[in-house]
Amino acid sequence: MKRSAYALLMALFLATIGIAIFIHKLTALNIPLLPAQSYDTWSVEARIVLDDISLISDLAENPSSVPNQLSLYLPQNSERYKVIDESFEGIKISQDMIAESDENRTATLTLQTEAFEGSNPTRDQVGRVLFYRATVQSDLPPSERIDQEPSTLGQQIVDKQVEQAARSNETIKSILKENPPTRSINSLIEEAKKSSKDGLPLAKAIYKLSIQSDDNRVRTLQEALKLNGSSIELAAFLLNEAGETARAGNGILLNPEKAAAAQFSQWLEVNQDRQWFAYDPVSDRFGAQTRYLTWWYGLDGVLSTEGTENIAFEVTARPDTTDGLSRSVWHDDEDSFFLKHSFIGLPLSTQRVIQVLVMIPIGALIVAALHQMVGFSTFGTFTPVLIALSFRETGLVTGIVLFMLVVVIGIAVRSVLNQVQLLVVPRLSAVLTVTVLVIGALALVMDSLGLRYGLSISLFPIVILAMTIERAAVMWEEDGGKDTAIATAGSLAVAVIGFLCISNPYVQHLAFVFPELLLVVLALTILLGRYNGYKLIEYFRFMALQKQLQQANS
Amino acid sequence: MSSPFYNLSRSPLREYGVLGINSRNLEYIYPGNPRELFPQADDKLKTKKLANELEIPVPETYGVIRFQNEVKKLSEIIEKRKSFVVKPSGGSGGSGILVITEVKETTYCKPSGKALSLDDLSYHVHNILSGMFSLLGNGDVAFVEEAVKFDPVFDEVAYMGVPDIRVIIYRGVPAMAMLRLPSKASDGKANLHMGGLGVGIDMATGKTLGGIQYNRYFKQHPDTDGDLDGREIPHWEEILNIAAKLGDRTGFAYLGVDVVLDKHKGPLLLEINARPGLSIQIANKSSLRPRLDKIDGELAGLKSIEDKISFAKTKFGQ
Repeated sequence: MKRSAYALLMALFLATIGIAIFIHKLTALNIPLLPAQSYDTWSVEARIVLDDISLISDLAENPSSVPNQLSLYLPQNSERYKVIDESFEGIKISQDMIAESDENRTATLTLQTEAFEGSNPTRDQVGRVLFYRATVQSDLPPSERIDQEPSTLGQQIVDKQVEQAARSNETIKSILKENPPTRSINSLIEEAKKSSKDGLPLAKAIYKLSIQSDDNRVRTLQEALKLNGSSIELAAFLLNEAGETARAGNGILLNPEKAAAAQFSQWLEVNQDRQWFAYDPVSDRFGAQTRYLTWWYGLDGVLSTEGTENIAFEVTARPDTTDGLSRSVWHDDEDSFFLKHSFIGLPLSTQRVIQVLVMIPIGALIVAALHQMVGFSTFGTFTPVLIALSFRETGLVTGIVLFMLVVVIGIAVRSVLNQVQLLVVPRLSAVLTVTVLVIGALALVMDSLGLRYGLSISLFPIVILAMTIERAAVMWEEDGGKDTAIATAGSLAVAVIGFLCISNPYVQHLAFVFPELLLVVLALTILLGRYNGYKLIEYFRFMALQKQLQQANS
Repeated sequence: MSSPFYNLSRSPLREYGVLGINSRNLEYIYPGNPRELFPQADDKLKTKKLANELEIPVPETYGVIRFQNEVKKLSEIIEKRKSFVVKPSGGSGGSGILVITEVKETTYCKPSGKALSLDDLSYHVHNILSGMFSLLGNGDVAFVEEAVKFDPVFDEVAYMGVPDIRVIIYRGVPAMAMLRLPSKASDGKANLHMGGLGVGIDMATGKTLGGIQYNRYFKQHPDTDGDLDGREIPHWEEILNIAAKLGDRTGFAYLGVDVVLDKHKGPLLLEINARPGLSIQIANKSSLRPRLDKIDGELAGLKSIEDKISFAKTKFGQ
């Protein structure tokens, strides 16, 4: 067959190119074949968008909102993490612009640049993006690490908008001078001192009082001091009032399991005998702070500027599995074409998207193989790939349970809608709406049960789910429950197999660092397109026929 | 065969020449059936037009409904009809076909006895028009046609519904045929994947061989207990003729032709299928590939439709 020969040639051609680039990168450029195992190094990236349009209501009324100067806290070394490398992109900065005090490292950026020579300088500055990139190394052996974020600890802050006025030590001092809420302060301190006089036990007692957010005194203080609900900051303030030395730490949790952008978390530190002890609410003990990457201490925000509030700040972190390759690419040390134009040089938040994207061809190959060679029956061709991607967010077991739950509830609702005989498209819209409601309700229920999947199921491809429900319901009417169950099981099975493959760290690493291997995936897909052998299910389908033919022939 | 996968699977199925779905697509349908012809097979109204041009008899069309606001025409179309069938023009695998065998004053009864109202029928037409049953999910056209009064020869083996005869045509030569019988499980429809029965047919004589349901062999119809083998299909010659004509006059190399037998009008063309299923091999206890290879080998000597039919009868009898 001519066409099969062409397909074979095409596949060989693609695979050869892919493998050639792959081997070149592997041997000449020393790119590691396997991902670094023990997430020892991390790429941390802060993205600062000046004059973020999404934060300004009216640009015309606010033309000179680009700041001249911007100070920014930088991550610092701690017991666990060392900043081994850092750089800025989008602005030139010299070493002396980074000031280090006892507690914090601050970079002062002056934004007067060439762009101001233009006729409309501020316009050019609108939406300008700066990157701060750091490579962070963990010095602790894995056994001593704590990578779980305590669920009761303080709260997380997303520094989308910089609020300068409200939250600084100065503000609190002036509030205290004018109208001190002494009664609440004293009452809380006295209550804490009942159980323990001073030192770390007192800190613990005060912390436990501070997290009682429904306590009237706590509420009064929160409002008076404008702490935005941070119980850590309140505890630090109360401890200082009680004569101890305490501070609030701000940092991010570097968690390889978590795909979302990193958020700042807070913790409480108390000074005892000239040493700082961090309070760990999980073990209820004081010790060195080994959970977070320390960014700064104090009550103010990560950024401070003059003249504007329209700055977006986002931190992304990714375990650097490329053995320091990211570092050299970010620094432009490499002059190889393939490294200069690799995904590793992209901003981390873009890398996150690409990491998911490069998994899709692999999922598609799996679907093609299971379709052509095994003969799975599924709802829609690529629905299982999308379900598999959504499992990345929810985790496998939760994902399956959620999928079944949403589909079963959806089918039940759809059958109710069918009673009033709606037209197809409005009915599909209604099913979509119900799907959103079901997911919303599930998120609420799970949240109140203390399960932490609320956010991730919202990323479930809702439209796909609604279509699946519709298809399942039609199939139920047309072909009965058995076929529907088979197709549901088939979809789930394909999704699970796909998920197991795309969640494999080796597969992820290979596809991301060696995207040319996707050409090999393409080659395999083309070969599959010319597969003329039997599907696995056909061996069962034709089993009775085979027996008859064997009898007839013997 | 230079296909890269050919040697990967050595199995008795391969040895006996059982045609699998991947082979059917890659070796017969893609090279033999041009894409642009598919609407002739997928769109039943287009098939009817084609049949009229070829002077092949089809069931009478009572009316066509193309737009949602035409659905009110339905009551006019079915007025005074004692039985009728509502079909989506682009439906696949028998989905969306609604058979009404009995009309009482305001209710319409399905073969199973279930009564529907005019509202239910209109809703079904609305669903058809919005593309619920079409292959691509696009908008579709509904039409109403006569319900075939099927030949009583099948009374003993047809459970509430219309049996039909499927003939596979390859390059104009009838290659294999089967009688498809509705069953309890298939709700009066004759489609095999819905639980209908497939009964093999001896190409030489038009006599039935044993049957299958869900790929399992049966000697008697599981619902009516009528014998499945040894029944003679009436008008066998004419059925082969209709099928061979369609294979000869259309551009399809590999085609399934579905014919139904009317008590008064004889064989009527129901539809043609550009991707006919493979269970016909199980029903006939015979594999397709040897027959297709034989046709490929001797096609040069077969000029007329009559040649092709007699070739099929002599070579593919059992």
